[in-house]
Amino acid sequence: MRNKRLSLLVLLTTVLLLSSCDVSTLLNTFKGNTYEELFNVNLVGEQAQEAANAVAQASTPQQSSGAVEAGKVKVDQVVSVEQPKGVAAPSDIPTKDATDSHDLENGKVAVVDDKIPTLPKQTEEEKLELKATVANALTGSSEDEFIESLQEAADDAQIIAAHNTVIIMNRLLQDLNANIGSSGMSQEFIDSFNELKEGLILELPQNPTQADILNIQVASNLINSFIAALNLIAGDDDIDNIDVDDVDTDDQSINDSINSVISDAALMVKVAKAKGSTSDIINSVKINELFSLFNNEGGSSVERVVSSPTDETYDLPEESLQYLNAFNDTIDLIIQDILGVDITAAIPTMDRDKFNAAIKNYSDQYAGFNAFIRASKLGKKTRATINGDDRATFCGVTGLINYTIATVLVNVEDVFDTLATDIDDEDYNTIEEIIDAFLAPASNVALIQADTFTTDMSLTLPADLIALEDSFNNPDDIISDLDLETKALNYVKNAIYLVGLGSSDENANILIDMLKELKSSLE
Amino acid sequence: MKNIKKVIISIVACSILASTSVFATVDPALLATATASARNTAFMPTSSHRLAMGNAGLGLAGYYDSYLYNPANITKDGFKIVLPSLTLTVNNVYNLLLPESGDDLITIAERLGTDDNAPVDLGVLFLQSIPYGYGEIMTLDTNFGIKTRGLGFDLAVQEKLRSYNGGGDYTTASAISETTVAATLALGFNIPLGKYVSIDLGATGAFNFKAYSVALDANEAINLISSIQNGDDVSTTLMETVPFASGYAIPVTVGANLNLPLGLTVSGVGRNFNGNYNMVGYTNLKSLINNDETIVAFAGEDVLGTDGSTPPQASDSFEVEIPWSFDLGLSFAPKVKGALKPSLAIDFIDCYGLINDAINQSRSPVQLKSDALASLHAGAQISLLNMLEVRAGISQGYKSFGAGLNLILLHLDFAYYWQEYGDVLGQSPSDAFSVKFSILNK
Repeated sequence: MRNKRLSLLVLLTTVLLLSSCDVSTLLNTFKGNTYEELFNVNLVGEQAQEAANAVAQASTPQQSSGAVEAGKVKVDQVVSVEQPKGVAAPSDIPTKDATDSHDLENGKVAVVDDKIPTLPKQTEEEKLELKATVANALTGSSEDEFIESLQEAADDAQIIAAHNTVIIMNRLLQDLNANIGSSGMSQEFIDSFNELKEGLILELPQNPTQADILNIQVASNLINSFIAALNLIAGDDDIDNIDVDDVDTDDQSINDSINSVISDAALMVKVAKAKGSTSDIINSVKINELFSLFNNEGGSSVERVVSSPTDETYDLPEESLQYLNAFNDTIDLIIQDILGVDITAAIPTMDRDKFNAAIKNYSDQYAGFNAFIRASKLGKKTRATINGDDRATFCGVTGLINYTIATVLVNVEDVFDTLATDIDDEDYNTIEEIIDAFLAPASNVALIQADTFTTDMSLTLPADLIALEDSFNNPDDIISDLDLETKALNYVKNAIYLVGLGSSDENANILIDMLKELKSSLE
Repeated sequence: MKNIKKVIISIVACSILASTSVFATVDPALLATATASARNTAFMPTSSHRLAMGNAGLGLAGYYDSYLYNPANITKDGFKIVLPSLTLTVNNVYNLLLPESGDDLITIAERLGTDDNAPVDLGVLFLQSIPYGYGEIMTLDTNFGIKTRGLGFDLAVQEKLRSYNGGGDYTTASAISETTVAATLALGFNIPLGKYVSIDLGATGAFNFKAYSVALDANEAINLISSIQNGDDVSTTLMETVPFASGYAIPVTVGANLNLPLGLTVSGVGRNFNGNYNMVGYTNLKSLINNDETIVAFAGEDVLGTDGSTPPQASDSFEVEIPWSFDLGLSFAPKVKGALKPSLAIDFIDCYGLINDAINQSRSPVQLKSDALASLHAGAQISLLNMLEVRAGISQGYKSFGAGLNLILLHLDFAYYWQEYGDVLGQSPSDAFSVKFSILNK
């Protein structure tokens, strides 16, 4: 009887307690983690601090010779290539600001090393939080695995791309050498070619260094430039059927464009000399080129693809526009695959125009973050798809991207600093949200599911991406989408960028002379 | 028997369709998100009474399904049969009842039928309630169970709607439909070691079939609405456009209880040996049902009676790893006379994983600290006249409470609790309300 009374009392007390609470009080009573008070811990904060420390440690540049570990290099095998040291942030490189300050014709080049004006910096605490947010996704073993896998992918793609490039370029060089004598080009132009040819090293050593790979890239672009120039002059892309009489000397836009790239090349060479480190600039330009290729913020990616350093744009045929836009969309799909995030959906509530402006401002100076996001996916794809000798073009692109990944990864600190200086608080918050959206899922999806992706791409690749991949099997099909004029200009510009910034002064001067010759041939 | 097969297949198909009925076409790539969401999620039927006690109670019996959490419990209690039990769990209750902006769930519910905007508001509210990262939206468990002392069989169907929000905003929320059918057989026996001391040993073997959709977001809902407006057959659209993955696992779980005087029990459970899922991705549900070897083996070919033009599967097989785990528990359930019966339980979940991570340094120090705290579960229950049970507990540091009501043939349990979905405690907690109806026995 006593127990029954006690039971009734407990029951009534419980009912009374529950009925006396409103929903808000009741739910809030149970909210929160008691361990945080009980054990006096703040695990989220501790993890953020831990991650920030990890980032600080990881962002310390590694000293290395840039050499590939001996005895491990095979063309079809993943190898280990250490990262080059001393990669500079693009904010250190005067580009557009300096363009107005040179006078090539008078032989004067004044390099203006102005830094781009910066907005108020974020506080140390904010920076720490941002770092922590990013690093949360890349902690402990996951971070190591992630970086390692990306570096392997980068190394793999680079060396395979270089190998394929050597094969193709040697073949092209043979054709060029055999035909240039009967091409009808001026003797001066042929002499320039022969001089340049002697300086080319179209071999890939057994243990290639980063310099070897860069050399191949430079050489291939020089050869492409020559072929493009010849084609441009001949009005025919058949190297065996060059007819100088078809030269269109009335097209002022071509003359202007070539003049522009010659000026740019001269400027870049002088900048490279002034900075005293060509490799740094090469790395940065690669990032910017890459971003131009794949970026769709701040305007059409197509415009950026064909834009020069002075932001000149060229009209492309509609067919090419469609192709390039499809490619750009596909890159976004790839990101969606790996990161599990829809880029457009990840930033739904903010002012898109403002966001675009902020991103463009930031990305113009340092494209690393966006390139990193895009390259992360493409890096995975590279590992899964590169297995043939006939994908030089694709490999070249992905090699570039993967190189960017590694570059960005070892310069995380720079990315953050740039983020902090280029954007205001509101935009900073937006960027932080995006980082959240991208990198947090990356740790959960991309890394853990990497095996699934790489072993079974058909599970995750949309049909249009598979079609795109197939199209890369025949690069000529893609190139043929561009009209001759655009193709030639792109080739020349591409060569200018790489040669003008990365090769020796001698080679750069040769190319400039060649372009001058080309220009005079057209006039 | 064949009818039962058809019923089960129908349940699987209908439940998958039902839980994806607000979505339509989707990019197959999103399957990856779904796979990530489903990873490391060994099947476990929802237990409202355990959740109310902080998800503790490895050594406590009294419910027909106690052996599903510790096979050694099959030796406790006598004959029990449940035909069936239904458990409905609704997640993110806090955000539904106390939203940061707009009307709460109750207010919107009151407007239903009188306000044309109410259904839309309701949908937005549910989307808004989905927190950042991985989580759950709703779960429905259906169990048919029968057991005697030492032998038991359980058939469970669990439909779970998982969530993933990569952007922290309701427009970026997506849902993943997951259905699991599990048939579990349990065997066990008791070894007396004295008047007050004995050992229970038990094991369960299960056949688990799991199917889950890709992650479907608001865009898919819009596509579906457009599809409906265009007069398309919704079921056909769903059957032919939503990619799924399916597969099976045959996990084995073993457990032991050391029963001591005064109602003390020390329990150990090794869980999910051979628990990996062998999965295959399919381009759509029709393809899944007609090609999944588990379904075909169970129900015969061409379940849907298609004309053989079913699209091919989307992928070769892949494996979703479910690591085995070891749990330790201490419970106290004294056999006291009178109407008031207390029970206490403390469990340490996945001790092996914790030690393994510490040795291999596969988790950072902070993560390990979090894992250690998260492994701790404790709860208490007071039974009044065997009719009302009041429960409370702490799970991963989050408080929980609930109650049970026994009404002869109908048994009702409810629980309100929080659960961590983030990497460390405090990062991404989410609450839930679970209610369970059991017919015949509890």
